[in-house]
Formats: sequence, C-alpha cells, structure tokens
Amino acid sequence: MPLDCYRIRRDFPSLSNGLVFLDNAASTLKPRSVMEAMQSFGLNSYANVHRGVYRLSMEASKAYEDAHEVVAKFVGGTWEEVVFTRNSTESLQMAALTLYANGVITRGSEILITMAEHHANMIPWIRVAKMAGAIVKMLPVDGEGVPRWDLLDEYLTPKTSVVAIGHISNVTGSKAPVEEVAKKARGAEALLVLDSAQGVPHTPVNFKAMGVDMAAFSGHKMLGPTGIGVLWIRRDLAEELEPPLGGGGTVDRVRLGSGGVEIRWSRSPWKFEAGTPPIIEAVGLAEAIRYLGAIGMENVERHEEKLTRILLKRLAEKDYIEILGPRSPDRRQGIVSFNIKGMKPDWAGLALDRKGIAVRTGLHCAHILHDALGHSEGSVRASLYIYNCIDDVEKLLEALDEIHEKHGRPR
Amino acid sequence: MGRELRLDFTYEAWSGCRDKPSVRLVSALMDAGPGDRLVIEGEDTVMPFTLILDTLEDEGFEYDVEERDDLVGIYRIVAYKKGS
Repeated sequence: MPLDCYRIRRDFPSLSNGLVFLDNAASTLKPRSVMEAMQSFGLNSYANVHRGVYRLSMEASKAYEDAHEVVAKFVGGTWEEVVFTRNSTESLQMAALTLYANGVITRGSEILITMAEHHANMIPWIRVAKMAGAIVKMLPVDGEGVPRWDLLDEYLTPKTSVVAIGHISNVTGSKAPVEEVAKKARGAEALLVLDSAQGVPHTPVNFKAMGVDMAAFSGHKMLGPTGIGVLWIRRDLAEELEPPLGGGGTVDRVRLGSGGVEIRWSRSPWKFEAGTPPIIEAVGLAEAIRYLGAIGMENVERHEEKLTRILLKRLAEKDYIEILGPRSPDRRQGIVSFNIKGMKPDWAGLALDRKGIAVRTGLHCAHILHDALGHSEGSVRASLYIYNCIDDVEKLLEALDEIHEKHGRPR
Repeated sequence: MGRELRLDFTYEAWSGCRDKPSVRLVSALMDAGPGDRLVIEGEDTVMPFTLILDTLEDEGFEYDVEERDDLVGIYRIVAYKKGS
C-alpha cells in the first residue's frame, strides 16, 4: 500500500503550522511516538545499563539491548554487529581509528574515497592516513558530481586497505553501486566502509548482503533523536578487532599481571561502547525504526522517488535554476540541490524561510564536490521524507518563481 | 534606552562556511527588543538590500534607509522594532 504522507503528517506536531520542511538530509522531524517512548522510558524505566543488579537497571539494560536487536534487524544483521555511537561522523571516526589501531591501515597502504564524500567520510581517513603514513586516494567525479565508478579498477591497487564511500550523496542524491564496489574491494582484499547516513533512512538495506564490512548511520536523520548513531561492523570483524577507545563497559576484566595491566575485552558490541552509552536515545531510535518499519522501507523509497522525479522535472523546466547532480531521477534518492541564477544560496534560503519553507543552504560539508561542480559558494538543498507530499513540492516551486522574480539577478 | 546592534554585511566580514549572512540577520532580528536600534551596513553582493527590507517588514520592523547607492550596491539601514 502506498505511503499516506498526509496521514503521517499528523504524527509530527512541528508541521501543524503549515511548515514545509525540506531539510531532512540534515535532520528529520520527530514523530510523537518517538518522543513519548523516550519520555516514558526516561521517567519510569531509566537507570544505567549493564552495571546494577537492581530491577530498574535490569529493565533499562533489557531495553538498551533490545534496541540493538531492533536496529540489527532493520539493517540485516545481528545485535553483536550494532555499535551505538553519537552520530555517523563519530561512527566513521571510530571505523577509521579501529582499522588504524588494529594495523589494517599502515605506512604505505592506501585508502580510497571519492571526491563526492561528506567531510564525515573524508576527514577521518585523511587524519588517520597522516597518523599511519598511509595515502588517501580520491576517485574523481564526473560533470554531474557522480564518482567515476568506471575508474575503480584503476584506483584499486594491491596496497588498498580500505575503500570508504558514501551510500547516497548528501548533495546530489546520487546512489553508489555498493554491491559492485564491494565486489571489487573484496577482489583487492580491501575492506569496504559505507557512509550510509543518507542511505539507511531512505532505502531498504542489508549490509551483509551488500558485501559491506562496516557502515555508519545516524538516528536523527531517520526520525530518531540526536546523540545516537550506529557503527555496524560485520560480525567476524567485530569479534576480531580491538576497540580504539577503552574504559567502563568495554572490558570483562582488568588485572595487574607480571607484565603490567592485562585487559580482557568484552564481546562486541560492548567493547566498542566506552562509558555510559546513549540509553534513552537508543530507546528513541528503536521506536523510530518501529515507526519506519510499520510504513515499510520500500514504500519510503518509492514515495521519495516519486516526489524527487516531479521536483527534478519541474526544476529543470525553469531557466533560472541550475541543478547539481544527475539529471536522471533514476540515479537519485530524495535529494535535489540547486541554485537560483543570480542569487547566493544563502539568500535563497532566507527568502524561502520567509515563505515558510525550510531548506539547507551552503556547502553541505562537501566543499570539494561543490568546487568540482563549479558551485563554490554552495547550493540550496531540498531533501524529502515521508511527511512531504506533492503540495510541499508545489509550494517550493511557486516560491522559487516569486523569489526569482523579485530578487534574482546576475551575481 | 535600548541597545545599538550592528550588522556588517561587507565582503571582508564573511569567510567561514558556517557563518551565513542570513543567519546573522535573522538572529539579530530575533534578539532585538523594544527600544533597540539595529544598524545594518553592507553590500548587495553579500546580502541584497531588497532582501533585507523584505525581511525587516516580515519581522515587524520599521526602518530608515540612511544611505543607498544602487550603482555601487551599498547601503546603510537603521531599523527599530514596531511599537518600540
């Protein structure tokens, strides 16, 4: 059954004043059920987890562990593979640091990323490469800002230890051929790390089936709260690797031995979750996933594809609009970035806000991609989700005409 | 007697990608209280004059355009919250 965006809207109080919210790639709004679940848990069932033997702590631990299970099922894995972090950015830092700390990234080894990456999937690799004496190579992009996947064979070498790519671009919405990249990475004996911050919230995923070794995504971009993200690590890898961070919750036993302090790490995911974890947030994320699960991710994907197709087509008809990214809607998912000729993206964002339309403006943490596309001052990004309906698209298009008429002129 | 808030929309004043003129403008308008005087000086290439006037009107501000050069694209506007 197709998704009923008008009915869904009723679950989001933020939309009750007629706001057209098109900044979902930055963060989504929260449905009532997520906030209620967090409030109820926080008020009635909260205690620290995995520490107390009293009933409240055990109930909290159960809810926290259940949240791992809910997330695991959502991405086609097991709970041991789900590490809770603060957000995708932290997940990717942790992936990079883990692979460095475990000797996967070493002096002279190569890390392959693309020019289209969000900084979250670029800067951690560059920093770790500096620490290790490794080399970061960047797959170039074509004229539409899509990574040159056809050059993958040339860029993969026997020295490549890690391939780290974005699942869906946060600027162009272009979808990476993950399975194909995974196959080639495996052929080169490299690990594939997937930045799925814009993937998991919008499309059905099964990381194991896709051939991914590690993947990152955020709770707040999929109806959940801020302060919780996920690093998914393939189970055998998760068991084998030592964590980059240590502390409370990560160990089974620490003792003084003859050679100094001896550490016996806990099993995954606990060894990767140092300190008191995001407990209330985990409950919120699990509730968000239940909400999305009830809609069905295939329906979410189809709904976004339909709206993207219309938005892209109608924007392309306007001679004052410059679209970033693939012209074909088949190569995109839910995100359309553009510029109004003669207007800086920042101005367009302000003018749209005056009309009750929330978009993101700027470089979207993807400076190199914007430079490559010749839009060094950034772009206006409209990103869609389950509560956006065709009337939101119509309002945006109408507003753009009015803004161009009034403020647009050659820069 | 209110405060005097100043907004500088000149090219030199903007560099970082997180520091957006529109955010600075809207934040200043939200921050301004009764009796405050908002002095906005700048260049069209950083923040267009017409967009500032539209925004001031939307947010319920009165204003005086003290300086405007259409050719060079510079302006100086003094704004007050209506009713103050």
